[in-house]
Amino acid sequence: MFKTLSICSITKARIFALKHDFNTEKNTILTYSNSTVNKNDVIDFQRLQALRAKILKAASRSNEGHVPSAFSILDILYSLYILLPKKSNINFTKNDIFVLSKGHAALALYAILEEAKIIGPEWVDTFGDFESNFGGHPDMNKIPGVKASTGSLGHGLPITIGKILAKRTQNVDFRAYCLIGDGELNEGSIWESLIIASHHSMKELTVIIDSNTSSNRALNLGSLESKFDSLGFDTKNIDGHVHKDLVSGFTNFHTHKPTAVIAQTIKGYGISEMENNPAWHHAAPTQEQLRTFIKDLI
Amino acid sequence: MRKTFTSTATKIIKENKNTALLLGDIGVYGFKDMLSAYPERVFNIGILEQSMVSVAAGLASEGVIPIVHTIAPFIVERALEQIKIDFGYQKLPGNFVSVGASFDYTKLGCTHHCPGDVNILSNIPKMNIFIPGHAKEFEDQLSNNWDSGKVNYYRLSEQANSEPIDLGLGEIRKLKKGDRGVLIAVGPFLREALKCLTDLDIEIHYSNSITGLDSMKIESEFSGKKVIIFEPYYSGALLLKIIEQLSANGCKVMQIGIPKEFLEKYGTYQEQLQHLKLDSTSIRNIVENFLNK
Repeated sequence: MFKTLSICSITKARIFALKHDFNTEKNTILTYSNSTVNKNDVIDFQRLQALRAKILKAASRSNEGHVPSAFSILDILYSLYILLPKKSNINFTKNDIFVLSKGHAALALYAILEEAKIIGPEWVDTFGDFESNFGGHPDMNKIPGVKASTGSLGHGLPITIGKILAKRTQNVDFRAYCLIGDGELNEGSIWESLIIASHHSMKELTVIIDSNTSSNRALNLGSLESKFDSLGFDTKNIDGHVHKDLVSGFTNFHTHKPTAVIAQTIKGYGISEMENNPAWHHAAPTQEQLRTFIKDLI
Repeated sequence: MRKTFTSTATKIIKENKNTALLLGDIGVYGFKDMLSAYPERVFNIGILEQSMVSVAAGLASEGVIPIVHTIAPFIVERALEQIKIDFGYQKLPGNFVSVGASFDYTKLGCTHHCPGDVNILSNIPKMNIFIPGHAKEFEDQLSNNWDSGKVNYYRLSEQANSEPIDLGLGEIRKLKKGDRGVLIAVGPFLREALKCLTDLDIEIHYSNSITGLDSMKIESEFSGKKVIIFEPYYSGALLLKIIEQLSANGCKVMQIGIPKEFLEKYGTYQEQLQHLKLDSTSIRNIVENFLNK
């Protein structure tokens, strides 16, 4: 609980600072409540606020979607798809792999795939429609860039492991990232897969854990760090809303161990009414709520 | 059939770089040389069936066609959702080869029985199910279908017919003429049918697969006749494929299969057949009573 509150206060300070720098052209460091922000952070923040608005709009229009789960991982996906390629040769349209195992956060994936120019903007105005390619869970046979049709928890990680085994036979350089939820860690197949990854020394694999503690009400998993350590992972525990830490976590690998990035996140991050509020887990904003939330974002 | 699986899968793996074999810690000894020779494509992946199936799907999604092997209930019933979603829904090709069939492991008890596999899997759209009645039939089925682009299930059994019959996927072959009725035997149950029903004036047909397509066709002039479907698992899968044809011909249908009960006795396979009234004498009586009604 302490850790969550601590992250929450920092990230809120960052958002506050960023908002106050929103209309400035100054390429200067801005400090607010122990949080430093530069111009690139401002640009990223503006982009992310725009993506949040799109996610809210899509969910509201369709009266569907897991918005808080999407907001929980949005910074992670932004760091992976937008920031990481600027600092490495990662390219998810070529050999590198990303699998969103917690498929119910699909809205964030759609937003990021558009931001990365892998898909167009049509997802916002078609999400959940009868003829749409964009449903509440991603479909790999309908959407470019989607590597697995997830939705039932516990499938994406073993699928990623199979992809790694296949890539190894093809003699190509690649990295594989798989994002799982901490609630998804209830699933036995996840632990089975972690054992497989460790046994096969899958240094190519980074498992990202969206640790928003939302499922602690069912099972409190205790220290994830010690569990992943004991399973033979190179484990990093970071703030899942701090891009610099995320990118660092995604670029530093062990020579033979798989990597686990435990990203401490806030479910519903960015919309205070949704943050850590279970009532919003599978609820879409009304038109009136949408206007309020978007106004708050801007 | 297990030995044939080892030899056939070995050949496929050796000759095709785009294949992989995943063993659920079953049949490992037979593949010990392959595990050493092809460590990047032949795995004893562990006793974790649901992950094994998903890992296989990951391989398939990157162009490596998997052959997955373990005991029937563990792959079909434990990992059903993974087969359904990761292969069926994602439209990925794969091959699942099980051993144990309905109750080959009679002395191991109910945990190792799987009379429900064929009906369960036939609920997965477009899934092909092979029920070979002979090792040679299985060899042909796996060799001809492993790279068909479909999801294929091969149900190996320790029970076998005396001779192989060369059939295509979804084919039903007439083996014997007759006027009083039509019997369709599936897989290794043909042996029981031929043992006790050959002298009856009935057609005997044979099938060793359930196609993933909507229907299968019987070549027969069976208008108004009595039809008996004789399956070595819970009844139902074949009837669903031919019911429109039977209905259109006004047939009266009886299904004989494994009764839906837990088989809590041990003993031999033959003792189980007698207990379930699926032995030759019982089958003869059941069929005659049906024809005479």
